Amino acid sequence: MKRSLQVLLVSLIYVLTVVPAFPQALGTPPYGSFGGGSFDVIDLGNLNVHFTIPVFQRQGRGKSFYYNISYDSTIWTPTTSGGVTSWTPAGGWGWRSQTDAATGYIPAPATLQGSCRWFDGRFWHTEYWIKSTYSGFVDPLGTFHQVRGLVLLTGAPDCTGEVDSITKTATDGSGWTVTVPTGTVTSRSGVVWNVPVGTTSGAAKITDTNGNQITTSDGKTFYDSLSSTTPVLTISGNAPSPVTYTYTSPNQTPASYTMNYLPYTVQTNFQASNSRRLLKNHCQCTAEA
Amino acid sequence: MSVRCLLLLVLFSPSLVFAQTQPASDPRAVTLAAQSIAALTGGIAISDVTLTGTVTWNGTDSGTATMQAVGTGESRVDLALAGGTRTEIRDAQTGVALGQWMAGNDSGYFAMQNCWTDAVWFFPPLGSLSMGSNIVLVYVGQENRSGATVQHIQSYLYQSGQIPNPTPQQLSTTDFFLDATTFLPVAITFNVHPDTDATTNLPVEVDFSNYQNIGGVLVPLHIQRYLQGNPLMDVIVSSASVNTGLTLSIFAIN
Repeated sequence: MKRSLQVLLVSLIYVLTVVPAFPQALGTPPYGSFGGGSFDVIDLGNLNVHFTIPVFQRQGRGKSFYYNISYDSTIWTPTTSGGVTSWTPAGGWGWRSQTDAATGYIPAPATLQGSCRWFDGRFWHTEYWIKSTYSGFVDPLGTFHQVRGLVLLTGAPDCTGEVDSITKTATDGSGWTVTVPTGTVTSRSGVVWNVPVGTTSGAAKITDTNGNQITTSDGKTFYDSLSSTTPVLTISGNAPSPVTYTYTSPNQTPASYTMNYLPYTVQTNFQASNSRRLLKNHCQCTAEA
Repeated sequence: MSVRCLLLLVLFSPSLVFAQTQPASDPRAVTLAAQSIAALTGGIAISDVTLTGTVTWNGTDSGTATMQAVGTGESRVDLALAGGTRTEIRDAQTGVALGQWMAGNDSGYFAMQNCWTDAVWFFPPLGSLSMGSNIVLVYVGQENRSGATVQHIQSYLYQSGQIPNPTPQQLSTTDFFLDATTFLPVAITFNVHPDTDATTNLPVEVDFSNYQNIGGVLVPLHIQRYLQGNPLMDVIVSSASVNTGLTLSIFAIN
């Protein structure tokens, strides 16, 4: 008896559906409408203010190395759960983490789990499958690019078949092609990025079309296309503690500078009523101030 | 019953499909849960409940509320508000916990990640304290909550196997705070999640107060539900009835 015919039923009992966490519309999404000036970019759709501060850059062979930190201002975003909308802290607010700023990352997948049974001619067997759906890619500037169809199916080869790897192209016109679970991302120009998957930090590698590479094994030490042994940039310390950036100066001596962080209070969640009268008063107060 | 039906029954039986070792509940938590159920019900077996009263919704809208439940898997909340109607249904008749909401002409289904906690969140005797199948209870300890001494126990739904985060245990975890003297639940807390994101927690707290004996059952006449610390539903119960023979059809999800 063919095994394909022996697969009886896929059980939906205790199915665990975990919908992917779409990062908020931070960064500069394709086809967005933007304002701002020479320093910042304002998403006119959600008023998120995004700006990037160059930390270090060096011309390389083929692919140049740069390291930036970026900031997104959106703190609260409306979230709907079961038909009830409430304000929820926005993921990605504030300064973007270091490796994230250099390479981008693939957010953790959504998972769906279930069981299925198949008959081998003598006995029934139960297998447990896991369907992992990846939402897309967050580029180095924090912009999320949705990729449809990044779905892996593992755990039940006899019932459902296996999909161990899949490659799809972003649907937003950005040209990014994403492969999971390896975390391989290819730009429209052919530059290949190996980025962290399910986390914003970790090992990453960027390879241009000529094979020149920029690599990091930990998000702290970076090698560019000029040397795979002498780091182009080493980062020590973690914000909000001082963060020191060490690099090789043009005269081939180590140089460093330190970035200090200071606490800054941002007042949010005013609990303002959406009644017309209160909003008007609030606006008057703001104008007088 | 045909072989096919028997097979389907086996397949759709969660306890059999995932029949692996379930962690034992903490005996102290089990004892406290039993004491709480006994205090609430006076030993009366409860199969269904109906609570009616007035409600303030989202801090701004008000009207009447009818909250019904059958067993631990079926619940229905109907709000007739000045701004329109709202209905929430939780249904497990198919063997899978599902949910649906309707508000005016709008409607939708609860995301699966929001169907793992107790369907009957407004009436503790029909919640996890009753120790349904695959429920594990954990004793957290004695605490002070809002000036009162409470016993804190936690429940979750056990599922075996290698499961990525967030797991059913994480999604189903509910904290019960029992009055240390009377064992009556004073609050429960759990998380709901955005429809499109199971990894973000939106804290929910349900406070129970003003327990009154109605037909031998202690019923909280004041039920307040908070979402992310903000009042979502404030119900003053004016009447309660149990074991009236509610039909399952009113909980069916369309």
